Amino acid sequence: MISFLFFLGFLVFYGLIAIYAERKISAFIQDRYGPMEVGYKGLLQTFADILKLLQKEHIFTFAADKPLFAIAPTIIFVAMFAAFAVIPLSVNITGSTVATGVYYAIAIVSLDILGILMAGWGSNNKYAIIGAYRSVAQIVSYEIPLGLAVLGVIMMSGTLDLQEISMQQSIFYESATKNTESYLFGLKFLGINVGKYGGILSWNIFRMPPLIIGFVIFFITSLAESNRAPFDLPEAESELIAGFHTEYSGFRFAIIMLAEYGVMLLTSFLAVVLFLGSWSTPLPNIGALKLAEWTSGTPGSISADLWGIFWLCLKAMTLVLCQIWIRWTFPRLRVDQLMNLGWKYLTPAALIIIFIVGLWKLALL
Amino acid sequence: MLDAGTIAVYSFAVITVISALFVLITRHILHAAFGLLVCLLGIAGLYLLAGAEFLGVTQLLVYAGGILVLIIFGIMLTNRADGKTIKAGNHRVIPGILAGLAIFLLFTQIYSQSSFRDSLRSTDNNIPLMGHPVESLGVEIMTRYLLPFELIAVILLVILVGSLFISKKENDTN
Repeated sequence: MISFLFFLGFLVFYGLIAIYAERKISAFIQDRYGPMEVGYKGLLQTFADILKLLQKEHIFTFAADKPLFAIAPTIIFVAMFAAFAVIPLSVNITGSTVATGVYYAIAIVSLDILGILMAGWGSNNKYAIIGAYRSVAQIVSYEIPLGLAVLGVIMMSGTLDLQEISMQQSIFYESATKNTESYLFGLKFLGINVGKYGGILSWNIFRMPPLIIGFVIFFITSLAESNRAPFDLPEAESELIAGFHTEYSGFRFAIIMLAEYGVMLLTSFLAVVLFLGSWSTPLPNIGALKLAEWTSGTPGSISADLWGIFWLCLKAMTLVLCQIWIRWTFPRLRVDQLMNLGWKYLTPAALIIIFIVGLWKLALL
Repeated sequence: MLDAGTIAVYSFAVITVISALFVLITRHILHAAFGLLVCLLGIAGLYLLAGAEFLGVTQLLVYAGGILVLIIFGIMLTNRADGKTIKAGNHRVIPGILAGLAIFLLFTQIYSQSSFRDSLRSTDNNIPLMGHPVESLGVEIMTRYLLPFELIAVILLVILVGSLFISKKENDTN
């Protein structure tokens, strides 16, 4: 319940700052100022935009399929938000303790596609429907390398429970039930058990170095999942106006935008939990400098919650920043390039990573 | 008194039945597909409430997120090819009702003669608590049920190659 309330509030807050950050960063990259008028340096610009959106009329086009058109934004948002249920926040706040955590998250997010199809079809507009087709084709294709990249982590940690995966990567590793040992760079013969040092060394990408490539694959596919440049074909402004949400206005448009930014946040949270040590601190214990212990709090107390939430959100926000940075740096892919990248490069690469992780675990761990 | 679990089971059952009826009654084929979505979600909810967590999530992933998307995609690509929407009609009503009744009778017969009936009715221990269900599922698939598992993989590969062949051939004739 705590995690639900936290995520609901955090998502709205994040939506405000992410849209502002997106505009300011894009302005910086393109050598402009960005929003400057509303508030100090344009800080209140997003509030003004949201006020404007809330006041606007809900426009239904004459030929729209009204029930589908009206319900689609809700489905898109709910499918995205339901996945937050399983993300752990700290050593105490576990979210929903289901044994199939990450599997559930991937499954429920895939329902997003149905909302997009409803929106595109319900609009009864050729731009909207082409956008919906492209979006669905893209998400379905990129779910395969996404799932395979996650599978590498699952093989490493031997569980689908996200809190268990988090525990293994933290200095509270003794509370995890299996795979508690983490050796330096996954090399057992060196005999250096990094569990008690904690910090960045016990993150999954350093416990099992092939997962660094797995993380890159996950990050690329997460860009495609959230329909962002260089994979923003579904809403390519120069070709399709705005893709599947061309016809939306007012609050429904706001919900779709929030869901789009929410998917960015969700994939960042998942990437952090699976690859980058979840809520654990990046600072290791170095001799007498017990940095990891100082920045983790004590389990069961509020300090652990505060540190856990702080580190989790900091890492996720860094990834969101990278997503924004990439959007304004790379040009859009063509449809055939998109499919080539997904099926001919990312999928085989993810399969090879799984193979290497399996061999590594058999031979070296 | 009804507890929360019972209420949840009945509400999911009602949702499933109503949406299944909606699929039958509606004449708009795309609305029928979305009715099927609600029906499948309701069944997934029933699986979850019965403690079959993995099965419920798989239902979401495979049926709601996979097969249904293909169905809807197919409908959308074919629907307005000639400029007007396809309307579904009701054909063969009486044979359909007979077949439905026959399957219902078959299921009740199986249920009344089954050995798992009593274990379902006893309220104290419905869900076996030994081991982790997901873990034991993985181990069983890779050991006891390895042959069927591999056979399914081969069948899927054959289907994949076959569909590729069929679509290739059509392109050549065009």
